[in-house]
Formats: sequence, structure tokens, C-alpha cells
Amino acid sequence: MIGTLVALLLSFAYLALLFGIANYGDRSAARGDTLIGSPLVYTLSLAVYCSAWTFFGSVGLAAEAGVAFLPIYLGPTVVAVLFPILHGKILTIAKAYGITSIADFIAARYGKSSLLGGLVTLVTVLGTIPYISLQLKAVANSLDTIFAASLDQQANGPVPEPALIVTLVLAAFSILFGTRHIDATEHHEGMVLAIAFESLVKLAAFIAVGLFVTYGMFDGFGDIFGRLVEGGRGELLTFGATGLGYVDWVTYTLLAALAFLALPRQFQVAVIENVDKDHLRTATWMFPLYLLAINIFVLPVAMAGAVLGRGGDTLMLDLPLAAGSQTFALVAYIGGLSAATAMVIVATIAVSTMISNDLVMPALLRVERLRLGQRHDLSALVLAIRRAAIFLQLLAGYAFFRLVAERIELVSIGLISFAAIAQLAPLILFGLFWRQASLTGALWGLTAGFAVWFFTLILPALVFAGWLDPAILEEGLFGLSLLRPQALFGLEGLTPVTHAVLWSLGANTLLMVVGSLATRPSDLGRLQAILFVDVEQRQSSTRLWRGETRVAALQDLLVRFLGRERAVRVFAREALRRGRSLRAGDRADAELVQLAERQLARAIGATSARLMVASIVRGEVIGPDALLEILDETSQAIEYSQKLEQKSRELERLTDELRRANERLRQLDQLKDDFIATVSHELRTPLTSIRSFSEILLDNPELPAEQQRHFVDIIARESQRLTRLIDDVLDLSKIESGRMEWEVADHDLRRIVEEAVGASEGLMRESGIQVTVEYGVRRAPVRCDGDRITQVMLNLLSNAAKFVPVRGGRIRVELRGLGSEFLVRVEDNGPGVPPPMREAIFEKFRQIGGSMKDKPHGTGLGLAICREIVQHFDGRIWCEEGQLGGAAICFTLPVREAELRAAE
Amino acid sequence: MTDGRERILLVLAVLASLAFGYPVLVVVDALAVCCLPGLLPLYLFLIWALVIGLAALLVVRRREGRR
Repeated sequence: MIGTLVALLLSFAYLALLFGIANYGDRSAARGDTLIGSPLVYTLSLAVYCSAWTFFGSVGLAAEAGVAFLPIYLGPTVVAVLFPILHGKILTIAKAYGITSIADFIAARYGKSSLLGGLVTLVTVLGTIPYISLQLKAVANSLDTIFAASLDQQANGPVPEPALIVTLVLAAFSILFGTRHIDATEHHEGMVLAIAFESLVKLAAFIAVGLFVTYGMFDGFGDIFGRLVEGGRGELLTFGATGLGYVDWVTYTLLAALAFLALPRQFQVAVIENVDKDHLRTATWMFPLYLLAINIFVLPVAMAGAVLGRGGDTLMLDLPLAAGSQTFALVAYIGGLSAATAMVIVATIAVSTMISNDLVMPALLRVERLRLGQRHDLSALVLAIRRAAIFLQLLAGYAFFRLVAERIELVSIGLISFAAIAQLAPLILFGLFWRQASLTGALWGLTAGFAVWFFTLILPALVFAGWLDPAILEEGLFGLSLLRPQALFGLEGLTPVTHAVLWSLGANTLLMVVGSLATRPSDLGRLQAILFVDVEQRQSSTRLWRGETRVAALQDLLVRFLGRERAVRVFAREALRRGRSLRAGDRADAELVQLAERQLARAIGATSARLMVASIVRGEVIGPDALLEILDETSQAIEYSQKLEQKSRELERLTDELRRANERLRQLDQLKDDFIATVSHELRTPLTSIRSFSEILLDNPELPAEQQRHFVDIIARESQRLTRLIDDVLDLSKIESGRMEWEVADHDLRRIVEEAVGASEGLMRESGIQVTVEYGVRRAPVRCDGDRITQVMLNLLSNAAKFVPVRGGRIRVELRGLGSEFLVRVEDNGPGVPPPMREAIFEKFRQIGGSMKDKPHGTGLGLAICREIVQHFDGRIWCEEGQLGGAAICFTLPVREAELRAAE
Repeated sequence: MTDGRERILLVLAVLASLAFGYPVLVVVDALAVCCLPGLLPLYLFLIWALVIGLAALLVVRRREGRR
């Protein structure tokens, strides 16, 4: 039988192996030979997520509540799918600005605020300590289990406080491999290698124990589940067994996702220790695959426990022990140990960096009396703070375990930690994607979220641990039932964790948004927001420092924090890059100050680095001018692109216009061709008659006089027609080109109509046409060229006369007032104009029946001229159906203005 | 990472969240309770594997495309 001593010796042997691996990794790195440059190692190091909680807690939970353990892995799976988006951006930012921890990241985003950095660190520390205690408790529990099972306990005697021993060894390991260099952005290659190894060990151990239980103790998956169902416990596999509502389930998934994003140890391995951004792609699928693999045997082992009537957090050990296999019990123990140590090591190292860079150093640097700014070598101090921080964290974890955690399940402790850490997630997410997220919002949100977390989760835990009066849970704070820690404002029916998460994250997010919208961030805050949110667009941001300092002063500053050797190396490299030496007395330019700040930030964090550089750079550090300059660049770029867009739209519009103009030109050109063709044709017809009849007369002088007379008559008529045509063409071209001389005067339209009707009386009588005239007004004062309007009237009358039937022709003329116009209407009882043609008859050479075969009745320009004249005097002209059955041509002229005014 | 691929990954994450949670689980669990004991864990693990497979397909293809 194995004894506790054997287990302890094995633990030490395992830790010694870990030391060896870490040492080997560090030595290789020192030789310039990196062992962590593979995506596989990167992914395995991410698996530090799976701590003793996974190894022991999941199985313990599954034995009682079926699949209730799964949300803790499904949440991170969803986040892993988003690695290239989320972590891709975080990595770019961290590498560009020398970020050393999650607190540094958040503080830098919100204007390098030391207050926020300190607060984040505080939340992280308080959230991590229960988590560390969870690991210690798991290791101590498993040692106890082995101890209880050993028969030779009398021979060896119980080991006092095994958990304390484990605590001290882990502290030693973390201090040795976590605080080698002062540069916190430099990779801890040895540590990463050891963590990756541990991930392999815990996975292999879990699968080995799983196989042993499933196939050694039972006959495979089917056997276990079959016996479970036979035993009437099949409901353990349904949702009902989880004891969760669907709201709880979704909340746990969300909680795990957010915590995974913000856990300091995950940030450490995923961001700070990342050597190649491309590794993220492999991790996108390989990390969830690891999670899946390590969880495959959780249910079989848990269900096997249920079948055998066992449960609890030590099931992984109990089952092999019950089957009499010490070997597999030890394998399980080592697996659990590796899971616990990995978490503790990475978490304490990560948090110690935060404690030194974001909590202690900024505080010390502000204390004038210490005059730290003038001390010669501060690197030793920084390292000492980190080492003390690691030690104190582990001690606090141990104390928490002894005082509180011993009475609570692993899973509950884990969830309490998660809920605290998840409070950082809104700060990260808003900080990454919302430029307006401000320091005020971050401070309000984090404070509120953390306070609610403490009230809803820690107070009850303290009550259960027997430290507080249970009355507060039932009666609420100050006896107010609305302030019951587990039913805040009457919200009941949820698990305590769901209740706490909904309230704390809700308050956090709400205040974050409200605080950001309600206040205006500082200049530096706005600048940092741009640098973070738009990191892909602007990687280099020089000109942030405006003050004046010498090269020597900067070098001294670096020497104090980084040591002489590294400081000299930094400046030598920069000189090499610039191709000229940097002399001590030279004025340091903005770029050099920036470089020094970045180097310092890698050692002591962004906030402290800023304080230190500000202490030696005289004058303005970052004034509104410099800031505006940078903001201007952005807004100029935006403005430029907007202008470009506008120009292109304008260009499009112009092209369109041009196309339309071109189209119109082509139409006009066509019209001109048509016009010339038509005019030529119209001229040729009478010319041809004149020529032929003249030739006949010339060739036949002996023609009878009567026939000669007839021919001469035709020649005269055709000549008249020719003259008329030419007159019309000249008139029209004059009007169209604007060369017509109008003799504008006051006229009475009634007089014009009377005269026109009178003038055409002879023609009408000759043709037997009956003309009736109706006047609706006694006077029709208009302002126009009387001759031209008479021309219009005569034209309309002769036009009507042409179309009336040979016998019984009738023409009706009407003049009446129409509002502010006078309307003249000339209608006939001819064949009329079909509606589609009514517009066309006003075009040049368009006549009804318009084919060239019919002998044209006129020049084809009469109505076109009428339209030009009427429109010139602001009138309208159109054609409609007449009351006599034929066409009615109507035109209007406006009433003379003086007349209108008088009427008013 | 191209915007298009990022968008597909985002869609995959949203779909995975839906498949892992309410209300899909209600249906699966109802089926499990009435006639198929063990369906719920089987469903969750299969969807999990499917999400991993699709994510792998997306990022691996992208890498080939870059060469």
C-alpha cells in the first residue's frame, strides 16, 4: 500500500523534473535557442486553464449533476473561435506598446491611469487568491485520500500540513522561474516549457485514469451508461439533473467565456508569452480540442462513481483505490498535482508583475520622501517586490483555504473567482472596440461590479464559513429585505452564482457605458483610446513627447531600472539603427524619449514608466497641441476620404449631365439635318413646277393663249408659295435665334381678333365657309406685338379654312377671359386631329396626314411660328377637340399687368 | 486575417453559442427525457467537435490561401 510519504516523495520528484525542464528551457533561451517557438507548445501552455478544478472538480460535479460541468469549457471554446479577432488585436496592442499584464493593458488603455491599474490589480488579487486556495485544497484533499487509504500510516505517521509544504515548494518554483529578468515582457521560456509539459501530463493522466475506469473496472462506455440506466439513475444524464435553469446554464457559459478572456494567467500565456502571432491560428482549433479531450472521460468516470455509489471531489482517486490499483491512484494524483501547480505558478507570476508594476511601484514613486527617482539601481527593488508578492499570494491562498475554503466545494470556489475576474471583461472589450469608453466609465463600472460581487458572493461565503451572522442572508443588509445578498432586489430562483453574475456584470456594464457617455475623457485618455482601438492603422506614434531632455538623462533613467548593461545595449542598438552615435549632451528627440518609455514600460509597466519619464523630461509632456495634432491626422484622413467620396459623386453627376447634353446635341443635330432636308424638299416642289411650266412655255411659243395664261398663273402661284415659304423660314429662324425685332405695345386682343376675322372674310366667303365669332369680354387688354398676334390669328383662320369640308364648312372663333389670361379659340368642323398628333402639329413641317404624297396645304411652318410668337408673350398654345367635331386650336395671352393691378 | 474570414469566424461563434445553449438544449433534453437517455451529453460533445472541426477548416484553409 502506498503511503503519504511515497506520494509526497513522488510530488517532490515531479516538481524536481519540472525544475529541470524549466531550467533547460531557460538555458536554451540564453543560448539563443528557443524551445517555445512552436504552436503546439503555445496551445499546451494555454491549457493552463485546466486546473485542479478540471481535474477533480468536474468529475465531482458530474457525479451529482451530470453535464453541469460543461459550460466552463463551452464558454472558452467560443472565445477560442474568436482568437484571430480578439486576441489578434490584443496581441498587436501588447507588442506595440510593451504591455506587461492585464492590469497594465487596462490602465494603458484608459489613459495610463495608476488608479485604475491599482484597482484592476486589487480585483485580480482578490479574485486569484480563492483560486490558488482551490488548488491547494485539491492537492491537500488528494493527499488526504491517499493517506486515509494507506495501511501503513502508523509506520510513517501522518505528515503535518502537506498543503503548507506544497505551498512553499510552489512559491520557490515561481520565484525561481518567474522573476529571473526585470523585463516583464521578456518571455519566461523555462516556465512556458514547464507549463506545456504539465498540460501534457494532466491530459495523459486524465485519459489514463479514464481508460482504466472505463475499460479496466467496467466494460466500456456502454456498460457504464447501461448500468446507470438499469440502476434507475438515467436521469443523471438529463438537463434536470444539473440543478440549473437554462438562464443559469447560459450565464455560466458567458461567465466562463469572460473569465477566460480576463484571467491573469491566461493573459500571461496567451499574450505576454506569445512569441509568434501566427500561433493563434493553430490555437483557434487545437485549444478547444484539448478541452474536449480532457473532458471526454469526465462523464464515464463520474457515472462509474454514481453506479458504485460514490461521489465527491476525490472520485478520480477513489475509484482506482477502490479497484485496488495504487498505480492509477498515483497517476491521478500526479495529474491533479500538475494541474494545480501549473495554475499556481503562472497565476502568481502574472499577478506579481501586476502588484509590482501597477500597485506598489506607482505608489512608491509618488512618495517624495523615498526619492526613488534618484536611486541608482531600482531593478533589484522591482524584483524583490515581485518575489514578495508571489510569496504573499501563496500564503494568502493557504490562509483562505484553511479559514474558508475547506468548507466549500472546489467548483463553488472556482466560480467565485471567475465572477470576480469576469468584472475586467467589460473594460477589455469596450476598451478594444469602443473609442468613447473612458476612464470614468471604467472606474465606475469596475467598482460597482466588484462591490456587487463582494456583496452577493463573498458575504454568503463568509456566512457559510461561520464568520458572519446568517441573519444577513435572510433579513438582508440593515434588515432591508431588498438587500438580501442572494436575492438582491427580490431577484430569486437563480443559483447564487447566476444571481451574482447577472447583477455584478449588469451594474458593471451599465455604469461603464453611462460613465463613458457622461464624461469627457482626458487628452491622454482620448489619445490612448485611439491608439488601442485603431491599433491596426497606427502602429508608430512618435511626437507624443514634447518636452526637452538630454540623451544622458534618458540613459541614466534606463540604467536605474534595467541595469547598465541593458541600457547601454538599448542605446547602442538605436545608434546603429540611426547610423550615427547618440552623444550624451545631445537633445533627445521625441522618438528617443518614446523608445526609453517603451523600454521602461517593459520593466515597470506603462503607468510607472510614464511617471519616471515625466520626471526627467522638462516642460510639456503631452499637451493638447500634440494630442490635437494626432487627432487631426485621423480627422484629416477621414475628411479627405469624405471629400474624395464627394468628388467622385460629383464627377458621376457631371458625367451624367454630360451624357444627357451629348444626347440632346445629337438630337438637335438630327433635327437640323431633318430641317434642311425638309426645307430643301419644300423648296424643290414649287421650284420644279415653276421650271417645268416655264420650259413648256419657252419650248412651245405657239401654245393657245388660254393655256399660256393658265401656266403663267400656276408659275405666279408657285412663286408666291415659294416666297411665303422663304418668309416663314426666315421668320422662324429669326424668332428662334432671338434676332426678331418685336414691337411691343398695349393692344386690345378683341380688336386684333375682329380685324383678323374681317381680313379673312373675303377668303371665307369665296370658299363658302360660315364663320361665327363669340366675344366673352368687351375689352381684352394685352401687351404684345399686334402685327405678330394678327399673324397668329390669320394663320389659325387660314389653317382652319384648309381643313373644313368643301361644302358646309364652318369655323367658330371665341374670345373670353380665363383668370389672369385671355383665351382665343379657333375651331372648325374638319376631320380633327387625333390625340397622339396634337402635340406634334406644332413642330416644324409636321402636317396632318404628314406623308409627302399628299399635296401639302401650307408651308408646314405656320403653327410652329404661332407657337414661338405666343410663347414669346408668355402665352400657351395647344390643340384640343372642338365642339363642331373638328380640331380646336387655342391660345392664351396674359392680361396686361396694369389692368390686373387695377382689378385688385 | 481577412475581414471575410473574420466574419465567418464570428458567425461560427454565434452559431456555437446558440447550439450550446437555450433554446436548442430544451429540445434536445426533451428528446433525451422521452426516449433517448444519454442524448444530451452526446449532442453537446458532437456539436463541440463540429465547432472545432469548422474552426480548423477556416484557419487552416486561410493559411494555404496565403501561400
